[in-house]
Amino acid sequence: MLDAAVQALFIVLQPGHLAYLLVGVGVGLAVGVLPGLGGIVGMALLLPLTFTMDATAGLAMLIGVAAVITTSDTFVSVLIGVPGSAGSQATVVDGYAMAQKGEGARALSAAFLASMFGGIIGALALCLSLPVARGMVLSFASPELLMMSVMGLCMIGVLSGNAPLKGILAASLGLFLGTWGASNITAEYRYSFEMDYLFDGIPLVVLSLGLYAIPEFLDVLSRGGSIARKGLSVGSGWGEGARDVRRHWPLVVRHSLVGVGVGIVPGLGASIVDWLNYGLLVRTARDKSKFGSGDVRGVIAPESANNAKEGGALIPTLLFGVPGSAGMALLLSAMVVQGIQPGPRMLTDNLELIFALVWSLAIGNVVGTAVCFALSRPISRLALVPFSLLFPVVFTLIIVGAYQSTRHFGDLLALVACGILGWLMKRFGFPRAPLLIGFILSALVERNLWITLNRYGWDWLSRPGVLAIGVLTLLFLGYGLRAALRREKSA
Amino acid sequence: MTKRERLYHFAFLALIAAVLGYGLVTALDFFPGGRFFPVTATAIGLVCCAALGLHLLWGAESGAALDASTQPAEFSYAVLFFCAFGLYIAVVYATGFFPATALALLVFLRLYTRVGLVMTVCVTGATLGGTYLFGILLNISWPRGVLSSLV
Repeated sequence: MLDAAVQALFIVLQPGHLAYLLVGVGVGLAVGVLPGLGGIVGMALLLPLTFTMDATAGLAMLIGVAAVITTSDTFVSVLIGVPGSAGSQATVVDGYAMAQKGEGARALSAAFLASMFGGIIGALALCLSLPVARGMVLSFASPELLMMSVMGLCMIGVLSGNAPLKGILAASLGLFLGTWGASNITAEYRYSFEMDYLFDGIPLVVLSLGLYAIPEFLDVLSRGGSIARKGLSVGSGWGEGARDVRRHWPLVVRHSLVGVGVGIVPGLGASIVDWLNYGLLVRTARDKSKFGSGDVRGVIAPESANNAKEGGALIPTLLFGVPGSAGMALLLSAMVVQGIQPGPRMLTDNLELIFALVWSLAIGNVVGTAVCFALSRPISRLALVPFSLLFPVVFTLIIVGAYQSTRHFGDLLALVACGILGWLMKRFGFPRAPLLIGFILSALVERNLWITLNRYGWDWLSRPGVLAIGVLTLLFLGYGLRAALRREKSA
Repeated sequence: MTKRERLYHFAFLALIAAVLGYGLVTALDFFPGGRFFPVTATAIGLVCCAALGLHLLWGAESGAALDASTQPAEFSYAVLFFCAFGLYIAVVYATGFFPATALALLVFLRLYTRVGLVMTVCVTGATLGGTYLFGILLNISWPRGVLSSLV
């Protein structure tokens, strides 16, 4: 295992590989600072480009985006009080209050460093989990994998905010759309409408760009002007922020570990990680008087957790093939396109790749933080660039990206159809992540269900692994729904 | 929620229900092995549609998803956007990616956002030039139009 880790480090440090990782970091920083676009859009834009690249470099590029989104979204959260992404909502509470007091740089500095350490702890957790998980994961058969997928689907209720029924409907729509094209059970084409374009089903890239990029693009365009209307003043206190992180290092470690735990559970992810950690911080702090009015601990805790979550989220994605979030679903699809089947066999067949992703995550975090520090002033001005000037680049990337899926003209038509669906879902408050996760899990669930029922009959339900995952699912579901109810109550 | 908004919600739910209903009916003709999963998925979806429909009928406020927090564009604007998008794709089909995109960007920058002519040409040129170089580096292909073969 150590050999694989060292070899992976050499691969990651190759100039070409490092350059792609930096491209991912650059795109992550750019989209992270633009509220409304977010990490999923960034990953969806880059996903088609990875198809023609070397697998490790392509995946590193996507990891580069995932690694820094929650670092760069701090700019807008702190400076203009608008959450840059779902994972930085809690940072606004104390971060924006600090910026209003002229301590914007202190808040940013603390957030960047906390994010960096959180990201490194997340990568370390992924690395350390491998020897522990190895024995367990390799003993998994199709019933356990089926149960893991069911667990991912059950957590959709948590992903759906205040609309669990809409979430289930979106997931079932995703499962249904995932059955289009050639069946992997029987020799027939399902819902292909006699169109050769649909023989392989709807391409995931087209669906993800349509669901996420087009609606956000349309909404930002309709608002007009620049993304941020107010001036962004960074203020002072860079050194003070670094000292804050050193003073509160136990907080960084504790909340990073909680972030990893949240990331491991499919479906919890970004939607609750920041609030969960902020709530934990407030409950356990001795001095609660300054929370909400600019306490640096209120920035450190959520920022450590939301970056550490990415390392945790990679564990079920790589080892079980069950993505916990829309971002991980895109990473999973990039692996499948490259001919890499995520799941237990990753530990025997692609251990080097796993370590390459661990290193990429860690390096991406360090580089992202360094860039944020070095370019804090120009980056903070990016949100003031008129969207009309960003439109050509984003628009071209969407079109070219969608067309790389199958290089068929149908990709563009499907993009419009998925864009309309995505916008309508957003317009009527339907969560889009469950649809994407349902779509990804569709083939996995159907195949494992078929194998399980044919091989084990109904006896599979009494297997110890299945029972254990079932109990865990119920526990997480109860906990997640309780957290969602609390969030609703506090809102 | 206004009456009109409720009507829109119903229309969207009816559209999803129609798609899922079609999926369910079609799935009944599949081979036994490939039938179970789509039937189950569409049936669950239809039950959810019915429950959400009843929820709306009783006048209850429907919850919103976490990722639906930003203000969506107006309906008329969205219709206009998707019509323009459709028109762009028709032009791509006819002329290919580069001429259609150049035209779309020029029209957008010059007529919609009223950017100056020099800036419009620079932004369009830089975008398409960058895309072309990027495409060569990463072996990317672009949609070719029916008229592309004539050039």
